[in-house]
Amino acid sequence: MKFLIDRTAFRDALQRVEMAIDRKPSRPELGGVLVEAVNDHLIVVASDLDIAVRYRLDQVQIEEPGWALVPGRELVDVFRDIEADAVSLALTDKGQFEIHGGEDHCFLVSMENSSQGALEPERFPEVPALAGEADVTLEKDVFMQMVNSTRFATSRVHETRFATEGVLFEVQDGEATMVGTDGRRLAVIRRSAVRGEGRRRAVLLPKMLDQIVRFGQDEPADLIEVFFLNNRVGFRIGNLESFGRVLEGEFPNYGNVIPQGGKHVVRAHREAMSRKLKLASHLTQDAAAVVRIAVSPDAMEISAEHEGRGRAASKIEVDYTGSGLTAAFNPVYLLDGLRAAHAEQVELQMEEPTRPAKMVLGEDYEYVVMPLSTFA
Amino acid sequence: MARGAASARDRSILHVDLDAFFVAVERVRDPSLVGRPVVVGGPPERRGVVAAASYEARAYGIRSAMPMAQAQRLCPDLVRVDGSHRLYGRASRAVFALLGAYTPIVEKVSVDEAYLDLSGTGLLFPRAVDAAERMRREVRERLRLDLTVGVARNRLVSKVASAFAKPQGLFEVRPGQEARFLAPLPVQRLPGIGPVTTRRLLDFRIPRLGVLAATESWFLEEVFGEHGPAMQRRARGEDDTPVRPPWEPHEARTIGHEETFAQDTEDHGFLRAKLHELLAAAARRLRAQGLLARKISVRLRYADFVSESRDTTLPVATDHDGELLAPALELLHRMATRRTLVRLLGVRLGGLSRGYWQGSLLDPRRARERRLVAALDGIRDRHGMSAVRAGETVWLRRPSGRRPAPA
Repeated sequence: MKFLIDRTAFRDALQRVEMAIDRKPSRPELGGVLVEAVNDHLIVVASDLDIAVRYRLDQVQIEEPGWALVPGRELVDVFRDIEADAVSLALTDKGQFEIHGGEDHCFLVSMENSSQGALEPERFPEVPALAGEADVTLEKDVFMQMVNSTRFATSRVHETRFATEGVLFEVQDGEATMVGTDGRRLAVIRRSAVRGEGRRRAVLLPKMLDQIVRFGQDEPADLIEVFFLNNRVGFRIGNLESFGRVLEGEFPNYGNVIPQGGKHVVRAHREAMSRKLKLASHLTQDAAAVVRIAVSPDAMEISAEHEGRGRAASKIEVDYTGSGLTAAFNPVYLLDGLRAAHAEQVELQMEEPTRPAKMVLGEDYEYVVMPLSTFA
Repeated sequence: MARGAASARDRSILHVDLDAFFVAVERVRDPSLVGRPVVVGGPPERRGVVAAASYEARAYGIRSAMPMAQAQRLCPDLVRVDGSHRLYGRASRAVFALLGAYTPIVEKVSVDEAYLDLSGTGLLFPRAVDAAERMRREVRERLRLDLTVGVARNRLVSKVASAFAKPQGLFEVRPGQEARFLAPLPVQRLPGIGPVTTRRLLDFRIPRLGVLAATESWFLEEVFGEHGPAMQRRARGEDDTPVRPPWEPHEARTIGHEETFAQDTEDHGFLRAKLHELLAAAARRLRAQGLLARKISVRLRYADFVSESRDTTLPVATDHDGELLAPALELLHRMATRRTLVRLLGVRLGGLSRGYWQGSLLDPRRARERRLVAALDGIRDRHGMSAVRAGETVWLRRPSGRRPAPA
């Protein structure tokens, strides 16, 4: 195998697969990057069993096809610092992966290789080919918005009862839904798919979504194609293919969680409410942050108290005509929702202080927050 | 714990105590009371008790909490004044406003008593006694009230020193002299040693703090358990409790309930029901104070006075009986293994934090249970603890305390 490539192009390709390089590989191959030179293009693959990324580069001059599996971290690091504009990479007779650019010369061991060209790595995990027509197709920007609207609400820790570390992705007859929840708040967004018949459903790994959001934006493609494989989901945006393990376990029945509107409907300015929440949260207990939201006709008061440090209260004007109501919330949850909101005007719907409150953060975008309660 | 740069060695703590405070305030209002035996408290017809007595009245043997009728019998010339707590509150605030100019670290323990930490104010007052003397002068000149101050390296000794200096006094225990100062004092002068402990110490021929300080610590541990060695350290004048200003929340305490049974029992059903009842009472107090508990401990004492206790830490803090009960029962189950009658059962909630309860969207059962608990508390507030009972505890009401025999 031998090819010549632009240094920045190859470095960018490595960045795209970097998240899938296992940092503490249980087998050495999982820490490797597979580099495959086909007749007119180059393919770079990494896989850590949870996620896998395959990236295709067309701007390359292949002199001899072939493939090699090389230590991933070292390859990424070397390319970050190498100085030549064009770099030549080749598999030597001794089975070493040679990187040569300008005055820089590096050799990486190759964990497995073939100079004949046929791709048959033995121990590297198989990354499926995304062939044929996708199960679901969405506009890329729509997909990104859906992820950004739900990913933040997922659980940071492993929950035993539900698979809430992941984002639920559901497609039914052309309508796509994403749901993120950690049991205390829940975000749900619905959008139309470009294509997608029947019913598909999977709980997606946040790590894979992060990879797609971070690098999919740069791909010169307008669509994202989704393939529901056996126990994996594959996504394709242009030359970028990302795969993620499907999270096993039950996802909560989110339909039951979303309140059907509330007695108290308050419309507030997103930015104003955010600012006041931030102000109040400076005076909350570090471990258990609580802000109180009191609504009365045309006004919302946001207050907080830190036992022994002081208290804060501030008011904003809102659109509300109902009776007075006070409820307590974790300010972080409210701020997260407001940050993700699509509209400048948000709606807060409450039934009573101990029942879930619903925020309407955009069109077909709802966020449910469980309030905090106290007996005192 | 030393605050800031001041190490335990050079701390300088003041215990300030207003002399016969209520009476002194009344005398500011009505100077004709000066020099006469005066008490503050309700009239004898309304079964009033002495809330405060002037030193002149104390000379007649009148003490706080004594029935007013008895006080008047002891001293026929006694002048009685109805208390005006609003006035005392104002006077107290005026005093502490003056003291607050010396150090921000003031811990007010009651209306007429406080600890001040003067550590690190050496540039203003190289000697804490000078600051104390000036405080006393200022309070006397500006408010016409008398202040007694004890100065020492720690809270404990400053408190004993001020009691020693009372009334109208100032006493400093120099660093290093703590044990020598305490040694000749009777054991009950040490805060924390009450009448029961005093009696036991006297039984063991330990009448003075010096003797307590010199007693073998293994012996004290044998007699008083873990409190023994701690008591001894205090008798030597060792104490590192910080002075806590009001902005520093107090460390969480515990809330507990225990009961010694009228009749020793080995009936596990009875014990479980009792635990249920004690826990319900403790949890209700927890909720009333807006606290959450993270730790539960259950204690048993057998008829032969052997005690046993176990504790556990919950994954999340809660104030809900339902969530506390299962782990508490589990502790009891693991414990009650001896085939001996049980005479006492107690439950204690610890790891307390002020906080709100975060409900779950996915587990509405818990939120429903909470609404139920709130409703039950409401009923119990109006009609008493036994107005609503858990099924399991119903037969506790039977006078025998025994499970009803199956029909």
